[in-house]
Amino acid sequence: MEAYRSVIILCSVVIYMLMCIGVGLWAMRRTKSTHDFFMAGRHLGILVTGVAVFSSTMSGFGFVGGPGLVYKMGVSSFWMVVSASVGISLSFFLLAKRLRLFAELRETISLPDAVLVRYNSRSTSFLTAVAILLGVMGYLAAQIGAMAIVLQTILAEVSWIPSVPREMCLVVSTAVLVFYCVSGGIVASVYTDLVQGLIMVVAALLVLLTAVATVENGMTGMSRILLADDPESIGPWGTLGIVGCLSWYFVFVLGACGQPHVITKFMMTRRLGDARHMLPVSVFGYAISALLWIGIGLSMRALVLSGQEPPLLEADNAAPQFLQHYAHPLLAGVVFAGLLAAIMSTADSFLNIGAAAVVHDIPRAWRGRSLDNELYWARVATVSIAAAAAMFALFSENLVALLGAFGWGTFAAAIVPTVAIGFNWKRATPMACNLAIGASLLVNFFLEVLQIKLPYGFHGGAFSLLISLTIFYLVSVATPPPPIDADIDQAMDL
Amino acid sequence: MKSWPSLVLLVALWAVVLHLLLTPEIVAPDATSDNTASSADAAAPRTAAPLPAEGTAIGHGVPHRNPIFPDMNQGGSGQQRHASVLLGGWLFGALQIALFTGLLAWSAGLPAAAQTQQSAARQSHSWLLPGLFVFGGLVFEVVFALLCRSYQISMLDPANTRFLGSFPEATTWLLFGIWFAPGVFVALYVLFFDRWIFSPQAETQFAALVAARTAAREHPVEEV
Repeated sequence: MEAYRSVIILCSVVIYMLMCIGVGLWAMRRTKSTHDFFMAGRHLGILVTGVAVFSSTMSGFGFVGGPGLVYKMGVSSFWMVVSASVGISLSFFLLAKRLRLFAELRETISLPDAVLVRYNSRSTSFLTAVAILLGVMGYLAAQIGAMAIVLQTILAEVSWIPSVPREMCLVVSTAVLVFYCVSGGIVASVYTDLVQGLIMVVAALLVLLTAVATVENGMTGMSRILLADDPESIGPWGTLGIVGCLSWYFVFVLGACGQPHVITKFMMTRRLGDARHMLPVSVFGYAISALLWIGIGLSMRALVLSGQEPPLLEADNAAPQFLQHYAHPLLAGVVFAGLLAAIMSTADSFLNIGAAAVVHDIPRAWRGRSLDNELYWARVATVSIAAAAAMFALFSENLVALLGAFGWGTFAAAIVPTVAIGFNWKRATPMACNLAIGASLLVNFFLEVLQIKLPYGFHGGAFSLLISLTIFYLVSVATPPPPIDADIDQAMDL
Repeated sequence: MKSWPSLVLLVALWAVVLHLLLTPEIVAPDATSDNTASSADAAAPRTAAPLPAEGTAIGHGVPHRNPIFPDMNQGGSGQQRHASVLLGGWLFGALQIALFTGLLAWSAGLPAAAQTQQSAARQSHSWLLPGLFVFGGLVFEVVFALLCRSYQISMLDPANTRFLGSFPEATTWLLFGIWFAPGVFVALYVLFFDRWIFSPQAETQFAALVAARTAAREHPVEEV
C-alpha cells in the first residue's frame, strides 16, 4: 500500500472535491431566495450548525500553521487552542439568543443587518460591513493561497503527473469552492462544513494516536525530549513568554465573539432552543480537532530534536512532513482531505458574508435599500470576491498579509464591542460603535504598516481590542443613548 | 445595568497591561558575546545560543534560537525572562478570567434578574445561578493560580521539573485545567437554558412580539 501512498492521497482529495460539488448541486435546489442563500431559510438543525460553528473556526491555519507554531515555539500556541472552550462559550452566551431573536423578529440576513436594527444607524451598519469586507478579503486570499499550496504539494508527489504550476492549482481549487458556494449559497456551505467537520474530527483523533506512537513513551517521551533541550519550550508559556501568551488568550477568547463568519450561523437555526445543544457540539468538536495541532507539533519537535527526523526547512512543513513519513497512506489521505476541508470550510463562510456585505449591507446602509434581484447579484458577488481574493493571493502577498492582519484585528476589536457587548447593553450608542470601529481600524493599520512590535510579544490585536473596548464603554456612558425600536427593546429584555 | 464593575475591570486591565508593557524588557545579549556565568544562566538550556540583535524585535524577553535547528526557538532562562513580569502576568490572567466570567454571568441575565420581576422562575432560586457562576469562576481562577505557582517552582529549579501525567505540572494545568475549566459554563448553559437563557415564558413573550410585528406589517395603521 505504501507504494500507492501518493495515489491514495490524490484519490481522497478528488473524492472530497466531488463530494463538495455534489453538495452544491443538491443545495442549489433548496436555494430559491436571498434568505435561503444567506440564511439557509433558518432551517438548520443542531448537528449541522454546531459542527459548522467549530469547523468554520478551525481554519487551515489550525491544521498547518498550528503544528508549525508548536514546532517553532513549543507550548506557546496551546493558548490559542485552550482559548476556544471559553471563547466559544462566551459567543453562545452573549450572542446565540440575541442574534436569533433579531433574525426572526426583523428577518435580518447578516451581521450588519442586525447592527442596523439594533442601533438604527446606517453609519454603524456601513462601518461594520466595511470592516467585515476588509477582513474577508485578507482571510479569503490567505485561504485560497493555502488551498493552492496544498493541492500543488499533493500533485507533486504523484509521479505520473507532470509538474503543475501553482496558478493552475489555485484555479482548480477555487473553482470547486466557488461552484458550491454560488450554486448552493450558505446551504451548501454549512452542509459541506458538516462533512468537513466530521473529517477533521476523525483525522485529528487518528493523527494523535499516530503521533503518540512515533516517539518512545508517547507524550511523556516527547515532553522529556523537549525538556532536556529547553525547559521553557515545554513549560506553559513556551518560548513566547507569559505576557505574549496571555495577550493571545485575551484576543482569542474575546475575538471568538467577533468572528462574523462564525456568529452569523447563530441566526440560521430552526429553533432558538437549538443553541442549548449546539454549544457542547461546537466546544467538543473544536477540542478534538485541535488534537492534531498539538499531536503533530509536539511529535515533530521531539523527533527532530532526538535526531529521528531531519530538521524542517520551514516550521509550516511540520504537518505535511509528518503525514508523509509517519501516517498510514489511508490516514494521510483522510488528513489531506481534512486539511482542504478545514481551509474550505472557513473560506466558504467568508465568501458568504463577503457577498452579503457587497450586495445587501453596504447598499442598504448607503442608500437605504439593497440591490434589486439580490439573489442574482449575490451569486455574481460571490464569484467576483473569490476572483479578487485569488488575484491577491497570486500577485500581492504583502497585501494579503496586511489585509489578513487587518481582518483579525478588525473582527476582534471592531465587532466585539459593537455586537457582543452592544447587543446586550442598551446603553451602547452608535457613536461609541463608530468610534470603536474607527479606532480599531486605525490602530491595527498603524501597527501593521509601521511594523510596530509591542514589548514581550504582546499581541497587537489584543492591544487594539482593549482600546476599542475602552472607547466604546466611555463614549457610551458619556453620550445619551438614542431610542431603541420598541420590539428590539423588548427582545433585548428577553 | 450598573456600570461600575465593568469600569473597575477596565481600569484594572489597563493598569496591569501598562505595567507589563512599561517594565523594561531584558535585552538579548550580543550574539557575539559569551554567556557569562550567573545563577540565571545556570538554568538556561545547554544548547541555547542568543539570537542576533534583530531577534529582540519579536519581544520574547530573552529569545534564543536553537543553534542546530534554526527554525526552532528556545525560551532560555525562565527566571531571567519572567522574574519581573510573573506577578503582573498572573494579575493579567486573573483579571481576564474575572472579565470572562463576569461577561458570561451578565449575558445570562444575572444583574437584570436581580433588578426586575420579569421571571418568576429566576426569582425562585435567585441564589443558585450566581452561586454556580461564582463557583465556575473560582475554579477557573484557582486552576490558573496553580498553573502560575507550578511554573514559578519549575522556573526556579528547571533541572527538577515535576511531572503531572505526561507533561510538566504547569503545562498539565494548562492543558487539563485552563482548557476544561470552562466546561462548568458549558454545563450551566445546557442545564439551565430553559430557566435562565430562554425560558418558556420568554418564548411566549417573543412569539407575541413576532405576531404583533407581523400583524403590523400586514395591516399597517393608516396615518391620519
